[in-house]
Amino acid sequence: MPHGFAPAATPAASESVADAIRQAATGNRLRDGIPVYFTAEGAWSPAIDDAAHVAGAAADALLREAQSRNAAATPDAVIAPYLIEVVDAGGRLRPVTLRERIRAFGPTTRRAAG
Amino acid sequence: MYRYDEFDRRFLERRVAQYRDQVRRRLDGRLSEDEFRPLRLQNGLYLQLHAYMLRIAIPYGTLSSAKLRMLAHVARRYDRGYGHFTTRQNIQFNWIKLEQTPDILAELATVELHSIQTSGNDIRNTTADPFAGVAADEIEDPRPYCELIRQWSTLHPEFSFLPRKFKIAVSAAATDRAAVRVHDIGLYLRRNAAGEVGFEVLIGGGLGRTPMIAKTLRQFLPKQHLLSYLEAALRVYNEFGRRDNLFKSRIKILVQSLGIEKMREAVEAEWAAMDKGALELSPEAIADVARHFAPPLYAPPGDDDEESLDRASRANPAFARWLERNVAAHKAPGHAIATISLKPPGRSPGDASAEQMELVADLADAYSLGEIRVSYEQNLVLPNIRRAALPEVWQRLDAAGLGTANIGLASDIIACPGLDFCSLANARSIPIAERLSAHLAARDREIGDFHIKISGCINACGHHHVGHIGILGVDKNGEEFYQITIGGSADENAALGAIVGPAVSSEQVTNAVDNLIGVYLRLRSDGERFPDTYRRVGLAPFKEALYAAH
Amino acid sequence: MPLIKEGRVVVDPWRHLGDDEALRDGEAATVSLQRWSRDREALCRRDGPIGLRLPNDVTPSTLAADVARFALIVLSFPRFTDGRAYSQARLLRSRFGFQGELRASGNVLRDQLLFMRRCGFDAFELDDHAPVAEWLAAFHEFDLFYQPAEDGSSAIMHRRLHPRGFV
Repeated sequence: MPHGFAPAATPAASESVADAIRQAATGNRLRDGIPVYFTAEGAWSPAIDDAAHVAGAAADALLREAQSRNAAATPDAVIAPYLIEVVDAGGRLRPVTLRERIRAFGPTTRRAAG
Repeated sequence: MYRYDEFDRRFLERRVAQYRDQVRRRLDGRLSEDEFRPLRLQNGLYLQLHAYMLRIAIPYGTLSSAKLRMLAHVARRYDRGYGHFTTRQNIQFNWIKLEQTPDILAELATVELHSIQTSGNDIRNTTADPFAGVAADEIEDPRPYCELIRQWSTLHPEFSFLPRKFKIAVSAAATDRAAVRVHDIGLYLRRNAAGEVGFEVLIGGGLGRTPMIAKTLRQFLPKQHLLSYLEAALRVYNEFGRRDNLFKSRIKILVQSLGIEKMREAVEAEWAAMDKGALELSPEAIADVARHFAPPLYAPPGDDDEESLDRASRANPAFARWLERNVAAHKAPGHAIATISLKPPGRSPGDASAEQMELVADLADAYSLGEIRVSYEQNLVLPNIRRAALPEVWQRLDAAGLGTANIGLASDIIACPGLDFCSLANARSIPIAERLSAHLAARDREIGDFHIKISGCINACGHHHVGHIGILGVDKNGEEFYQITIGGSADENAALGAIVGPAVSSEQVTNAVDNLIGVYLRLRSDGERFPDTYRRVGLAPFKEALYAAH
Repeated sequence: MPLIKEGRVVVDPWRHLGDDEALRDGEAATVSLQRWSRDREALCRRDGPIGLRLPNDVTPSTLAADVARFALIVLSFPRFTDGRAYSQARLLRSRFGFQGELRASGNVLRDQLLFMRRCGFDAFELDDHAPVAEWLAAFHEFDLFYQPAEDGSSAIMHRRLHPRGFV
C-alpha cells in the first residue's frame, strides 16, 4: 500500500489543521497524463514528496511560477497547473483531499487480474 | 458480424492519419489544450486522474476473436495488462499515454476497431441487446440496423457539435437487455399487425442529474424510414436543445420542457419537410447489411447432448449452478448463450486481464463461432455454444477466474470506475462494489435476481438510478457518503429508484444493503422478484429498516 | 478578416453594415436580420448584391421566401461548440435552395472546416493569425464519407442504400 495513504480518512482531528496545511502546485503532464508536482528547482516531478510547498500567502506566487515554467510548448508541458492543499507529515507530503491522495498514490482498488 | 470493405478500411485510415496530425500539433504547441480537447474527445481520449483514458468502441457490443485479441494486446503493450468493460458496451483503458495513442489507433484499425465518437457532443456508440441474433425471444436481429445507424452517424457533419452527447440503444426481444428506456433515443424493433417490421421510437430517456424514462415518440416507424426519422429528431435537438446550461442540455430536458406532443409535432414536421429519399433503406440495402449478420449454420444437436449435460451437472454442482445461472436459451436447437461473469466477488467489476481476454477469444474460436458480446452489465457473452460443450467451456473459464455463477444476482454488481480513476467522480465506487460483492456472494442464491448498481457521481455511469438498489457516492465535507435508492429497473418495465433517506457513510453501506435485502426477503411472496415486491409494499418498510434504528 | 473560398485565401469584398449605416450605391453589403425586416422594401429595390447575417438561433424557414434575393448568407458559430449553424446551412441549401455564398463566421476552428463544407458552407472566416497552409490542408483530410450531405461529395451510403441506383 503506498505510503501515507489511509483510505477514507480525512486529516486527523488531532492535527493542528490550519497550521499544518500548505499548498503545492500540480498538473497532468501533457504527453502521458501523469500527475506531476512543481518542485523548488522549478521542475516537475511525479513524486509528490519532491513538491515545493508553501504557506498561505505565498501560494499564488508559487502557482504563477509553476504556470510560467510551463509556458514552453513541448511534450513535457504540464496541463493547467493548480494548487492543492498538503500536510507535511514528517518530511512526507500528504494531500488533504481524498481525490488528490488518489492522484498522488494511485487507485485504492484490488485489481481483477485473473 | 459486419466486415469492413475497402471503403470502411480507407475511411478509418484517414481518421487515424487525421488524429495523428492533431496529436502532433498538440505536442508541438500549435494546438492549445482548449482547441485539442474536443478533438481528442471525438476520439474517445479523456484526461483522468492518473493518465489518459482511452475508450474504444465496440459497436452494438459485438466482437470477433481477432478484435478481442487486439484489445488484449493493447492492454499488455500500452496499459497495465487489463481493460474495463463499460455500461455502454465499450472498453476503457486507464493508463494511456497521449503520445502513444496514434499508434494504438493504428493498431486497432487493423482489426476494424476504433474510438470514434466514444466521447464528445456527438452521436455515441449505438448499443444493443447482447443476445442479438441468437436470443430465443427475439423478433429479428437488430444489429443490421445498428450498423446502419453507426455508418450514418460516423463523422456526421451536421451532428458533431450537438448541445450534448447522444446515446441510442436498440432491442428486438420481449425482454429488454439493452436498457432502451433510459437512452436519448430508444428503439424497440417490432412487428405490426400486418407483420411488417418497424420500430417503436422512444425519446428523452436518460440517467444523470435529472433521470427520466423515455416516452414514445412514434408507436410504429416502418423500418425503411429509420435513418431519415433519426435525422429529423437529431436536427430538432441540434436546433432547440439548450446550450446555456451544461446540466440541461440533453434531449430529455427538451422533451420535458416541450412535452412529448410538441416534441412529436416538431420531429414529424421536420421529417415531413425532409427529402427522405437519400436516407431511405431499400429492402436491398437492408438485405446487404443483414448478410453480414446472417446466422451461421448451426450443427444439429446430438442425440445424447442433453444426457451428457445432465451427467456433467450431477457430477459437478459448481457447474450445475453456472449452467442454471449463466446460460440462456438460444434460438437454435442444441445451442446456448453463455454469459461470462466479470464479477468475481471481492474484485473490480467489469475488468478483464489480457490473459483472460485471450482465453475468451480462444473459447470463442473453439466453441462460439468466433464471436463474443459485451453486455451493459459489464460482462462478456459467448453467444453460440453447443450445449454439449458447456461443461468444457465452463471448466476452462473457471480455471481462469471467469466461472462465477452470479449473473443477475446480488454479487453481479455494476459499478463505474469512480474516484479511483475518474476525474468527474465525487466518491469511490469500486471498493464499495468489492466489499458488497464479497459480502453478498454467499447469499446470492438465497436472494435471487437482484441488481445493485453503483455510481461515483451524479453522472450515473454506474446506472444507479435503475438499480433494484442504487448507490450514489457523494462528497459531504470532504468525506465519502452514499445515497441509497431503491426500486429502480432498467428493463422493459423501466423505473427510477426512490431515495430511501439521508446518505450513509462508507462504513455503513454494507449494513444498509443488508437491511434492505432483509426487508425484501421478509416480505416477498414465493418467487416474487424484487421489483414486484417493491411495487406491492412500497417504500415505507425499506425506509423504516434503514432509518428507524437511528 | 480574410476568407477561405474555393481553396484559397481571399480578401472579403463585402461590407458588413450596422443597422443604421448608410449603404453605398452598388456595393456588396450585408445587413442584420433586424434591418432586413425593417428595410426590406428598400433593400430589395436597390442595385448591388445584398447579404444577410443570420443569427444561429433563427430557423431558416423564416427566410424561405427571400432566400433567392441574397448573394451571401453569413451564419454564426458564437462558440465552436455551438453547432446550430450546421443545421441552418443544410436547410438553406437543400430545403430552401440557397445558391449564393454561404459563409461560416465566428469561432471557426480548422478541424471543423470539413464538417462545415459538407453542410454546404463554401466560405470560411479565417483568423488573422491562422496558418493558412494548415487550414487549407484540413479540407483534404478525408475524401471518403459515409452519409449524404450538402456539398455533393459522394457518400458511400448513396451506393449502399441504393444498390440498384437512386431514382
